Amino acid sequence: MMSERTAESAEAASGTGAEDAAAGAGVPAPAAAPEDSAGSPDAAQAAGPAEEAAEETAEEAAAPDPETTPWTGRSAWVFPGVTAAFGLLALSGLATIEPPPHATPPGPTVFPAVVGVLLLVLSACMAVVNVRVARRGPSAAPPMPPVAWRPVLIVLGALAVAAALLQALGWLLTGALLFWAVAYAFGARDHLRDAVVALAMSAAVQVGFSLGLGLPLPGGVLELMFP
Amino acid sequence: MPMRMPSALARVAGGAAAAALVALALVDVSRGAESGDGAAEKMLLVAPAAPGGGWDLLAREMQNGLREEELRFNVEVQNAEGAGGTIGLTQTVNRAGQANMLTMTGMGMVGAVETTGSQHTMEDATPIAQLASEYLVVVVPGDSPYSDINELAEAWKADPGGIPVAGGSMGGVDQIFAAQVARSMDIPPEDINYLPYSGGGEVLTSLLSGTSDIGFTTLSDFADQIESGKVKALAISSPERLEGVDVPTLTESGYELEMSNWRGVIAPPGLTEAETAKLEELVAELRDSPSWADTLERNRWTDTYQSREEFEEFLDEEVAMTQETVKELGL
Amino acid sequence: MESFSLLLGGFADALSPVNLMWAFLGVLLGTAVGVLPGMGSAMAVALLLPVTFRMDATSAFILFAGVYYGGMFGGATTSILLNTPGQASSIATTYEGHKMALGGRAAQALGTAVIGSFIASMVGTLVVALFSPTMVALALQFGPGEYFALTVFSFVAIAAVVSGSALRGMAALLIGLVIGMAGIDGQSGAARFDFGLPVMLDGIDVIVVTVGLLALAEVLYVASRGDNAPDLKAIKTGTPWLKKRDLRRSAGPWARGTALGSLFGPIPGSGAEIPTFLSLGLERKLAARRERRGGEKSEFGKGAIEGVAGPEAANNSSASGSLVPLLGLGLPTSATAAIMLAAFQQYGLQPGPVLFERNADLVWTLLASLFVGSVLLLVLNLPFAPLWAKLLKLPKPYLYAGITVCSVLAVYAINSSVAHLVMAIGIAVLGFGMRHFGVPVAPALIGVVLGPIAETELRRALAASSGDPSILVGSGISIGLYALVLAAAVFSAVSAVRRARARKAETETEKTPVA
Repeated sequence: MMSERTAESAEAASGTGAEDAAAGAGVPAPAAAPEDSAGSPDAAQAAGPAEEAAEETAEEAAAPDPETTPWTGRSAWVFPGVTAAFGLLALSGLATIEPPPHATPPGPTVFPAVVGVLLLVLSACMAVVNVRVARRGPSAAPPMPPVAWRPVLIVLGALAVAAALLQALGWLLTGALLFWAVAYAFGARDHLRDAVVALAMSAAVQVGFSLGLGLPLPGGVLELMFP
Repeated sequence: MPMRMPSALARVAGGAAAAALVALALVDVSRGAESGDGAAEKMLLVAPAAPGGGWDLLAREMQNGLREEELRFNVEVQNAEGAGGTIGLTQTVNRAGQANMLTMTGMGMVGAVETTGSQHTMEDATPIAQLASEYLVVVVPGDSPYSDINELAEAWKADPGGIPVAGGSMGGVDQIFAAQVARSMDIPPEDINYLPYSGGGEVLTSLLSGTSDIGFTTLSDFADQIESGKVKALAISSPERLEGVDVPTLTESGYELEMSNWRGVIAPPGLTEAETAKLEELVAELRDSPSWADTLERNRWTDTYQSREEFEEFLDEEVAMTQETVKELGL
Repeated sequence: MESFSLLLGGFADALSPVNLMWAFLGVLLGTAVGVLPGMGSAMAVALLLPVTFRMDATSAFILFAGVYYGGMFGGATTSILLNTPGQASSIATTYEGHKMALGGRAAQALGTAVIGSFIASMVGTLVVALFSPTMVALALQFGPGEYFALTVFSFVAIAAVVSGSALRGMAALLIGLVIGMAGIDGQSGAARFDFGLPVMLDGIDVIVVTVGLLALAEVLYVASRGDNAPDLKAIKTGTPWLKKRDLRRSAGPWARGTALGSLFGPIPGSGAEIPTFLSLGLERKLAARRERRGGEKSEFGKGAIEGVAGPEAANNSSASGSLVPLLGLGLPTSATAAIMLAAFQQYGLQPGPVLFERNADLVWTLLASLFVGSVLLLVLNLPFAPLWAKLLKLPKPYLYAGITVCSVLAVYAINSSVAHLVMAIGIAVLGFGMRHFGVPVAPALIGVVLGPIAETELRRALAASSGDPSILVGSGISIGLYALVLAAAVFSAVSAVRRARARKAETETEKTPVA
């Protein structure tokens, strides 16, 4: 059973691990360690045992199909909740959509209403399944995989910042910042090189799409450099 | 790739490559920041439609014409699609005072302002000129029993709800045209059974597959199909018969209706008289050029140029007419 | 055989050095743009439309043909390697393709995709060249009632393929339907779920949903797995070439996928999603049957090459097929086709029956250049398949940072608007949640794509018939489609009952000795 505590501990684990995202963790996957991301050519060869490990991971990933694994613990109620929320949203259309007086039936509210009802029914069915799984006891299903919240939040934060700053900062800087932050979330720690790669990537997009294909990308503050 | 090379030398090389890329990108940024004078002045054309839409085409044609006639070299087209063009209108109004941009507009935008409840209306922008028009036609499938507009009017009047008619999107030019035609035939516009489609190709398919019986659409979308006999054009909305188009006008058939799907340009509000006059002059120069004549011919547009004053008056009339029709249709 | 000689004339034009260069450039650009996550052939063509403005018409279309096909292949590459399809028609490929890549068979997956695409586009283009008028006539048999039947059929067919858990699949589909409803309702003009925001009036762009749900959600999901995520870099890229066994296994799927794609491609509104999923489902069933009959074991679920070969062939032949309504009726059936239509109009050409007579040169050169484009694609990409597979060797932080930056670019490029970006981030969070809770995302995307079509056609049908529902079963086509749906439902119900009984019997026999 995936209690809140396990979720927390998973978060904590990822928090400590984030200093060195891959190296210290349980699964022996040295190839993901930052030094190797540094990309020494012998890394690939040196990663002999890693290849076996990777095959294992690949099979592991394929073995318990997450799409048929029942939900357990408190987080089991998240998705039924999301489903119900969408159902309510669709049903709210009955109140918020103003059909024009001469609309031919079925009007614009009929489909949303039908879909909304179906979503609520599905949510209820999921709830029933959840209760049944819970009754069978904690051993009935494998626990949900832990979520490493830290990298997820860094990526989301970087996306939000990028959306907020894109117009003001311009593509070149925003793109580089986004690249750098996501790379950081995925464990890159060679800050200088990461920054150079990020700038190069962002610049390549600007050159290819704006200079080459004429897609207007915002210049932002950099335009101030050219009065 | 820089990150695959281990040695310090490779790092330096990678850094240099990155620096070169960044430098090139900065060149691109500086290009965008440039603002020159005269023909070197930067010009922004806003197409309030997706690439490939009618206003996009107008903007690209203008961009090309301005360059070819050496009126402006640095012309950028920006697409601001959405909500029937009102997103583009709002962007234009929000750029109050910017004197180097023109936004494409047309009959469709006037209708969309009414139907989408847009926060900005045509009056908020500065009208510059009308450029071109296309006329609308009433078409029926080639094997339709109606051979002229009077026969069609009779049948339609007898059962307006039972005859499905097809045209472009809700509140768009085609629907307003359909409503106007119905009214000229003494059919209450709100009684007609209008099936909206997203484009001329869909309207054609609807007619040919027998889903709808009458189509209301722009002539240029259907000119080839009319010629091939797949569909018959029963009437056209132009004031007089068009050269090379053997279709009677609505007026000559006894229905008091003239209408055009016109296109023009507007500018942001808050411009000085001198700035506005400069934009008007630029558009007038383009309109008188040989490359614009070619544009009109290639796109089968009719030249209905109106200078600022005329266009402003015309706009007022169009807005009033559209408001009335939209109200009648209950949109 | 008149069309044949016309086609030969087209080849004479298409093979001129200048046009050959344009075709090459197109394929190269198309592949380059298509291979970026979140970008498919529609994006590639849209970006190039302004570039080609006032280029000589023939050259422009040759360029487009190259970009179109190149983009299709590029999309398959990211689906297979990174599990981030650039467009809805590449989703079916990810199922087995990405598993093949994880299993160290990326090069084979890419190889079978290239060859399958090649065969399918050759056959598809040939079908267009020879049978276009017949196919236009077929497409005109489809009224709103038939379209609605087709969408119902698609929902069922796709559900049968993707559902791990029926409940979750249904929920995903319905959530997709709700997302697809946002914006102005085309039939009545009423605004739905716009929350008073003007940007929402046009609804949520399919590219926003695709990028958010597939590319960005994948980045978030991989990030959330921390060290448990499969380590792409450590995967052996394996031997680069297709083995005899791979070829033997791919041959059937290529042929069947091509046939499915050619069948659905010309039907306006059906898109490439339906044939790709049908092909995936068909190959899975056939492999299971082969295993039951004592043949080779089915590798579905572990990276079956059939599951890449079939959908990729279907994808490409349906792309060729969609040229039929485009050229014959001026009716675009996909985002890419819509932009190609705009390109035609830019040259003062009105696609339709007269096009073949008035601009015969152009049409036949275009068709010939599609053949040339396919060949170039094969020549250009088959040798590079192992090289593309090496993409997985990039350091993981850079790989996913690159995916993120490209996704943001793809979304921003739709309309130069940050609002779209915000929507994409929201949808990415939804997609991440779905991935985490084992809810399939493909049905959600299918709901977004096909939902509006289903609703529009149903309401259009009822409007056209003044409310008489008999229009829904008014033709042989719709009755046939519903019959297929019914048969499939009965069949799967029966087999489910049987399986349940078998399982029950099994557990009982297991229990007896213990008791």
